[in-house]
Amino acid sequence: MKKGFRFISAFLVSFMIMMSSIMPAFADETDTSTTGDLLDKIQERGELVVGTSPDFPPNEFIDSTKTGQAQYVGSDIELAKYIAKKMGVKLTIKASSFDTVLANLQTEEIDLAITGLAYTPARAQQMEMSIGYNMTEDTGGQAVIISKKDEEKYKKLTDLTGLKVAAQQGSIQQQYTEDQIPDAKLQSISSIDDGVALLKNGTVQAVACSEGTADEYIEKNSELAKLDELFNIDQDYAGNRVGAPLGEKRLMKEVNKILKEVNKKGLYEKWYKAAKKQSSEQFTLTATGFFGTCVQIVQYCWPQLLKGLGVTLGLAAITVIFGTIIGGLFALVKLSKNKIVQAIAGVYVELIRGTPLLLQLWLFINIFSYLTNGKMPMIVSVIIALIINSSAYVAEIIRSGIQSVDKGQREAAKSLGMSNVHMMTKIIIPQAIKNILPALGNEFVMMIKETSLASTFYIGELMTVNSVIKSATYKSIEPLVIVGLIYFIVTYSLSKLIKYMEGKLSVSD
Amino acid sequence: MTKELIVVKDLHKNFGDLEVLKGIDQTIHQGEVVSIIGPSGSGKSTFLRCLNLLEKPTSGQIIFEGVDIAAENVDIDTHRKKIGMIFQHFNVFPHLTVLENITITPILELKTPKAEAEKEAIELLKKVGLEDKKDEYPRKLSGGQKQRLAIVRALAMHPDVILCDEPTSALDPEMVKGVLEVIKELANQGMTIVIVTHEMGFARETSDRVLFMDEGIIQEQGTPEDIFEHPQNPRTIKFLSQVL
Repeated sequence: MKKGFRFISAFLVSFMIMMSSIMPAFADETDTSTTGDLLDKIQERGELVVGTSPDFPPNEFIDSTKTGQAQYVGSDIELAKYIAKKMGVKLTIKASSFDTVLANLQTEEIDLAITGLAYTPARAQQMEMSIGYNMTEDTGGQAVIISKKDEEKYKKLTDLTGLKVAAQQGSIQQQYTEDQIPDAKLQSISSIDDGVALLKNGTVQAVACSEGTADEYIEKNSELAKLDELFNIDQDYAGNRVGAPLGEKRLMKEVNKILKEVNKKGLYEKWYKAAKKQSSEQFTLTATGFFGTCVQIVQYCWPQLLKGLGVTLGLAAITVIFGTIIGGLFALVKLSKNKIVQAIAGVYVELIRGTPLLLQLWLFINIFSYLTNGKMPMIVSVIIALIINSSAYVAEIIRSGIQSVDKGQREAAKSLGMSNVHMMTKIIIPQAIKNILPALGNEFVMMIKETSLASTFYIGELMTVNSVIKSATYKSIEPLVIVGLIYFIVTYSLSKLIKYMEGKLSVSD
Repeated sequence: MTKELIVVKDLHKNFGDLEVLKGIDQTIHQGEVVSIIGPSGSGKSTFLRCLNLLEKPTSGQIIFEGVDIAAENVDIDTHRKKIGMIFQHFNVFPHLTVLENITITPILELKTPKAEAEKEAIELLKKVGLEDKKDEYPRKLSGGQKQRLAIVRALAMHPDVILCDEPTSALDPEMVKGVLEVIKELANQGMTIVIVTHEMGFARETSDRVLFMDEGIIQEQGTPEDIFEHPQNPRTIKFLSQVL
């Protein structure tokens, strides 16, 4: 009982120390943001970091034939390039999910958010918002997607009274839905793809999104249609906005100056048209049935799928290899006699095992970004976070593997006068390996699945490829099924292989 | 009197609050065969395991060949090479062949050349009738064969004394004899042996001296004749009446 209490207090203390070393980071950020010196910083480092969620063609999407920065395309990316050019700095695109873009803006991970952002009063409280762009009728409209079979039934917004309507969390469409569809039951979604999937399976009756997006979906999904009546656009809310961290008024002023020029010259509309063409050219599905579509996606996308699988396996392998090295050290420390290092290793292992991986990814990405002034590439942060996570599990695997060796073996070796090193390397570890190897194999299989969490940060593994294909094809279920099958085939055959090797190993008992 | 090999002075051992050894003084001479008998829980095994520091004494001295090995900063591995030990559960190394089980420690710790270590191991295996098993893994051996392998493994280090911790307790009855014969043979060759055993016949026939332990102390000791024919201590009498 007393021991447990000591452990918990040690745990809490170390957690608080950890937090207190991070908290000043956030405090600093609020301080600097009120002075609004981000513009100077951008100019100083010669780099503008723009966050975007590339699942929103033609505004921002991924050209899967390209890699690195070049893969991010769309009219918003053109706008970002234009702004960087006008500022005379280099552009770096940081891709992540939409929620992550907004969060990154608050922590100043990115300088600007250009991601089809619409004005809402709530958002205006959390960030600096630019004047509108993308304001013209044919690109700036807001529409509702419905099922083709309901086309005759629903014509006006009021026809949807009391029905379930999906809209992106915190988006302008959510605002419109609440204001203009009486008694609408709002279903929050994180991407339009999800909304369309819900519409197809009947969970919702309509999806609110921008007209351009609606047109794309309807063109590629014969079972979808557009509600005849569009949302009545409030001029205050019209168009898209560029976001900057709260308080960065000087930066915003500079951006607005550039946007005014863009609006005057009608540049965005040109970019939009070109992007729309590029988006529809990149991929055309002709098949209609579910299986036909799946086959066609695989035919078109197998190089990306293969590459995604490669990244997934690579990530899992790197994670488990380095996790094993670090975990091995922690296991030895935990088995050592020094109470202090033992306690530290214990707290480390328990902390990591007792918190979710997604939380750790966020936490470490923020810490590394703060420590390196945002210079740490996302993939490196993700890999380090994964390794730290895995090492805690591997430490336990190795520790229990070593402890599972009969204590008589240790006594026999000692009684013969064997040194500690020889006892570990020649007697204990060779026997422990039999228990450790299959468990490490299973950890590898676990990691293959766990790396999917890193897709929040668009690092190109299999789950990221799923998002890319989703936004390229406007199909949501088929890519999920394909990617799911790949995961399953790989993990299932690996598990079988491990079982087989486990059997081979245990023969020597 | 022959040379004193192990001298134990005022040995105490506690496991937490439990006092298992309550002050033991004992001298083992070179070439002596000493049997330790007594009821279970009397501290026999703990006493034996203290002799090569598998259990660290709480207090007291264990002077082996003139060195107090229970003292701090003693390189215990060096001394353990001279103290062989046979365990109840054999503790052979399952991942090594019979031959490797024997040669691994001489090669690693005595720097014996591999060929020489193997030659000697085969000689020893011949003596216990296991020569044809040299390339097998221990899982193919019976309990009695495993224990004979464990004895050979200890002998390959050329120990000055062999400690046997109930070497036949885990064996099927038909295996006991073979193992005891090997130990008897060692005794005949002049090896110093300290054996914790329930085999009263063996203790009587083979020992030079018998120690009767109970409640953490040596209650009575003497020649087999003294102990088995004319026990003095009431505890000894009671114990012998139960086991004989």
